[in-house]
Amino acid sequence: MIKGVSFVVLFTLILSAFSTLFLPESNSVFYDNIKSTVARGFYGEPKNSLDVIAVGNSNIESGFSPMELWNQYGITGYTCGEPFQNIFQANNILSEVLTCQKPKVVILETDGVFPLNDRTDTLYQSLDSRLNHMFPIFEYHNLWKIMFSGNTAAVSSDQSNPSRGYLYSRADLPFSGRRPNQRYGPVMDQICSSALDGFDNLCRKNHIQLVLVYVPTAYSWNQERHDWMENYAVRHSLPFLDLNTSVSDFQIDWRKDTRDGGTHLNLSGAQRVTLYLGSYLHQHYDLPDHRKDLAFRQWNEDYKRYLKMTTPKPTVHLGNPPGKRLIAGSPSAR
Amino acid sequence: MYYFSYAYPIFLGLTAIAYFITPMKKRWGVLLAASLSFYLYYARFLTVFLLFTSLTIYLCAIWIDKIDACAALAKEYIPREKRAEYKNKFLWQKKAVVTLLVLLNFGVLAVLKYSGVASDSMNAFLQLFHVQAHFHPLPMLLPLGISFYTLQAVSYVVDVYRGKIKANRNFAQVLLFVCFFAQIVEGPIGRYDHLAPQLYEGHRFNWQNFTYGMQLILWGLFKEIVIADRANMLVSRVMDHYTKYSGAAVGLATLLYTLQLYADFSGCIDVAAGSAQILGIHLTPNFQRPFFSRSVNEFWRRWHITLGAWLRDYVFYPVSLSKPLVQFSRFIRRKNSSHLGKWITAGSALLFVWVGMGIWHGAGWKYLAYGMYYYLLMMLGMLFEPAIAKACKAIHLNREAVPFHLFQILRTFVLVNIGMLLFRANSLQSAVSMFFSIFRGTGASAITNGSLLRLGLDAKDFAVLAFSVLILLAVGLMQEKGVSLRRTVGEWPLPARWAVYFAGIFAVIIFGAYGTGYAPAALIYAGF
Amino acid sequence: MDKLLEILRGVNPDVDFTKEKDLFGSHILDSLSLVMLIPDLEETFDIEITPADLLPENFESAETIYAMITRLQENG
Repeated sequence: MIKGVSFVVLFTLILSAFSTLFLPESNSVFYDNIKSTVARGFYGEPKNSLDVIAVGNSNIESGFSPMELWNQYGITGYTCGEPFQNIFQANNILSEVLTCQKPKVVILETDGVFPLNDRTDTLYQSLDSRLNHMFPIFEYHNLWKIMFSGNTAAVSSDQSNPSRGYLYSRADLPFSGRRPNQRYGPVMDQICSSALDGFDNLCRKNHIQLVLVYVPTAYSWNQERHDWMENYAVRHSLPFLDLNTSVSDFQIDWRKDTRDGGTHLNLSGAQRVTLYLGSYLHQHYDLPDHRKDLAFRQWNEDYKRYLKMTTPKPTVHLGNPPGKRLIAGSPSAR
Repeated sequence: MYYFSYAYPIFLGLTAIAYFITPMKKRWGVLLAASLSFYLYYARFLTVFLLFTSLTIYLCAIWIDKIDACAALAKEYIPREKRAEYKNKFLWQKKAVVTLLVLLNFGVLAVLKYSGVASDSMNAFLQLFHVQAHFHPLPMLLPLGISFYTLQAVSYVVDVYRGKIKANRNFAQVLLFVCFFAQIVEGPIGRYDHLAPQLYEGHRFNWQNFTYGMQLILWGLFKEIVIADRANMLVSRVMDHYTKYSGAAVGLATLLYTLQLYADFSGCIDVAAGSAQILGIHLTPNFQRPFFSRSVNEFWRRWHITLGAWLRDYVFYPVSLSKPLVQFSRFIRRKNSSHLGKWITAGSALLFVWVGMGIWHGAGWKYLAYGMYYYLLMMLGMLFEPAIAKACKAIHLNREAVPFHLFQILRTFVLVNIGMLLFRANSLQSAVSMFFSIFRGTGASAITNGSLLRLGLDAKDFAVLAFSVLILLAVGLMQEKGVSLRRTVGEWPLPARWAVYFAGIFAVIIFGAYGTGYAPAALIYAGF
Repeated sequence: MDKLLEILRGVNPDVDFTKEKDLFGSHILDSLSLVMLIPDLEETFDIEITPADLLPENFESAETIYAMITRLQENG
C-alpha cells in the first residue's frame, strides 16, 4: 500500500517536472501538431499592453480583427481564437493571458460555450483541458521533436503576430440564405454552464469587464442558444451582443461577408463586426487611445503590414487558392 | 475508443474496487454489472443482439442437456438390440438443436454484417437484366464485438453437444461469459471450459497479478499509442490515395501497415488481458510473436491464435471427419495412397477453414481473396514440400541451420506483408494495383530525395518507429528464448524496477501520437 | 498397439512413437496430420471418432491414443 502511494506521488512529481520542461517558453514555436500558436501571440506583446482580449472558437478567430480596432479607436486588442475551442479551453487560455496581460475587457464568443456533442463528450473535453492545463506535457509533448534537434533558437524569443490573432481571409462564398432547422440535443449542459460561471468569476476576480458576443454564423446559431445566453446574461448582469439577431444598427450581409457559405466570416464580415464592437467598447468602457503613444508605435508599423496583407494585389496569385490561410503556422481551419 | 479513453481507467479502477470489496461468492455479479454497463454504453440498443445470442445459447445448451439425460435414461430401459436405433435418434435431435442455434446466430451475424454487400451485388446482378430494382442495405449497425462473441457463444453450445462441458443453468452467468468486458471488443475468443470457471469464481486481490496486469496494460498502450497511431498517419495517407503513390512509398506503407496492425491488435489484446489479470482472470493468449514464424502455416498458429483454434475445432475437425469427406478421402487414397492423396483430402477440408477465415473478416471479394491467398500458399507449400526436401538434400542444404531459418522467416514476412496489403486495401482491385505499383516509379530515388518524409511522418517519427521496432524485436527475442521479462524485471531492486516503469510510462506520454494534430486511429479489429 | 504404431509410423517414419510423450507440443502431430490419421484408425479398429475426441490430451503419445481407442471400442 505504502509502495503504491509512493509510486503515485513520485509519478506526479516527475510528471510536473516534465511539464515545466515541456512548456514552450514562447509562442514562437510554429510547429506542426502544437496547439494554435497564433492564439498565443499575446505572450510576445509587451507586458500589460493589451486592453481587450477576445476569446472563442474559429468564429471569433475570423470574425474579430484587432488591427481594425486599433485603426479606428487606438484600442489594443488580441484575438485568442482557436478552432473548436470549447469553454474549458477558453478558461485555460484566459488564465494564460492573465500571466502576462491585464486586459480591461474580455470578449467571450459564445458559440463555443455550448456543448458540441453528448454528455460524455463534454465530460471528456472538460477532463482533457483540465489535465492539459495541470500538466502541460500532455498538450506539448510533441515538443520533443524540437528539443532533440538541439534547435534552441526556436524556443528562445517571443513572437507577436502582426494581425494580432485575427485570421485573414478574402474569399467569399455567399450563404445560401436558409438557416437549417438543426437541433443539437439539449441546448446546454450543466458542465459547460458551470465552466462559464468559472470564466465569469475569473474575470470578476481580476476586475475585467466581460462581454458576451455571438459572432454571426449561419449554421450553429439557433434561437434556443440565443435565449439561453440572453437569460444567462440577464441573471449575471452581463452584456450580451448577439450579432445573429439584428441588434440595433448591426446587419451582416450574407452575400459578401462569409468566406465559406455562412460558417465563418471573411475580411469584410470581420471589419463589420469589429467596427460595431469597437464603437460599443468605445462608448461603454474607458479604454485609452494609444495611437499617439510612442510606446505603441510598433502597432502603427504593424497596421501598415496588416493593410498590405489585406489589400488585394493587382497581380494574380497562382500559388494561393482562395481561402488558403496566409498566416504561417496557423492550424487548418475547420 | 473503448480501452483507449479517459473513461476506461476510471471504469477499470471502479470495477476492480467493487470486485474486491464484494463477498467472494458474489464477485462475478460485479463483473456482469461492469460488463453490461460497458456494453450498453457503446452498443446502446444494439445490446438486444447480444441478449438474443446469450438467450439462445443458454436455452439450446439446456435443451441438449435434457436430450442427453433422456438418452441416459433410455439406455437403462431400452433393450440392447434397439439401443443403436435410439442412440441415433437422440444424436439426430441434438444435431438439430445445434444446427438451429448455429443458423440463428450466424444468420443474425450474416444479415448485420453482409447486408450492405449483398444488396449491392443484388442490385448489380439485376442491372444485368435491365431491372431497375433497389434493395436498400440496412443501415450499417454492427453491435460491438459481434463477430467475436458469436464465435465464443456458438463454441459453448457445440462443447455441450460434444459432452465436453455441462450446460449452465444460470442465465446471468451465461450472459457474463458472452459479454465479459475484457474480451468483448476484439477478443481473444475464449472457451467456456477455460474462461467461464475463472469468471464465476471469486479471485482474491493479488499484488503480483495487479502489477503484472498494469505492466501488460502499459505495454499495450505503448504499442497502440506510440507505434500504431503513428504508423497510421502514413498508412492512411498512402492507402486512401493510393493512385497518387507508387514505388517505395507504397512498399513502405505496406510494411508500416503490417506493423500498425500487429501493434494495434496485439496492443489492444494486451490491455484487455492486463485488465483481466488485475481481477485475477487469465485470458487465452492471442499472439505468440508471429513474425518469428518460419512458414505462413506457423504464422497462423501464432497470429490471432484464438480465431485459428476456433476454426480448427469447429470447422476443420467436423468437416474433416464428416462422412462425405472421410469417404472421399478413402476413395482418393485407394487410388493414390501417396502424398498427393493426402494433399487432396487435406486441401478439401482446409478450403472451408480459409473461406471461413476470409469472410469472417467481412463480406466482399477482398476478404475472400485474403482467405484464398493464404489457402493457396499453404496448399502450394504442402504440395511441393517433398520435392523441396529432396532438392535440399541433393544440394546438401541443411534446413535446420540458422541461415536457412532466417531465410524462412524473411520469406514468411514478405508473404505476410503481401497478405496485409490485400487486407488493408480499399478493394481487391486497388490491392492488385498497389502491389504492382510497388515495382514501378521512383524506387531508390524516393529513399534519397526525401520524398518519403513528406507522407505524414517526419524523420523523427521514423526514428521513434525504428526504435520501437527494435524494442519489440528485443522483447520478442528474449521471450523466444523463454525469458519472462515481467518476472526478470520484478526481481530487480526497487529503484531499478521503478525506473523501468517510469521510463515506459513517460515514453508513452512523450512519444505517443496523441493530442492536437493527431487523430487516433480506430481499433482495426473492433471493426469486424 | 502394434497396429497403432504402424499407422503412426506411416505419418512420420523418422519418429520413435514409443518414446514421444508430447506429440502435439513438439509439433510431430498437428491438426492436419491428425485428421489424416483418423480414417486409418477408424478402419483398423472399427471405431467412430468424432470431433469431440480430437482433444490434444488424447493425442499426447501412442499410449493416450491407444487408451482413447480402447474407450471408444467399449462404448461402441
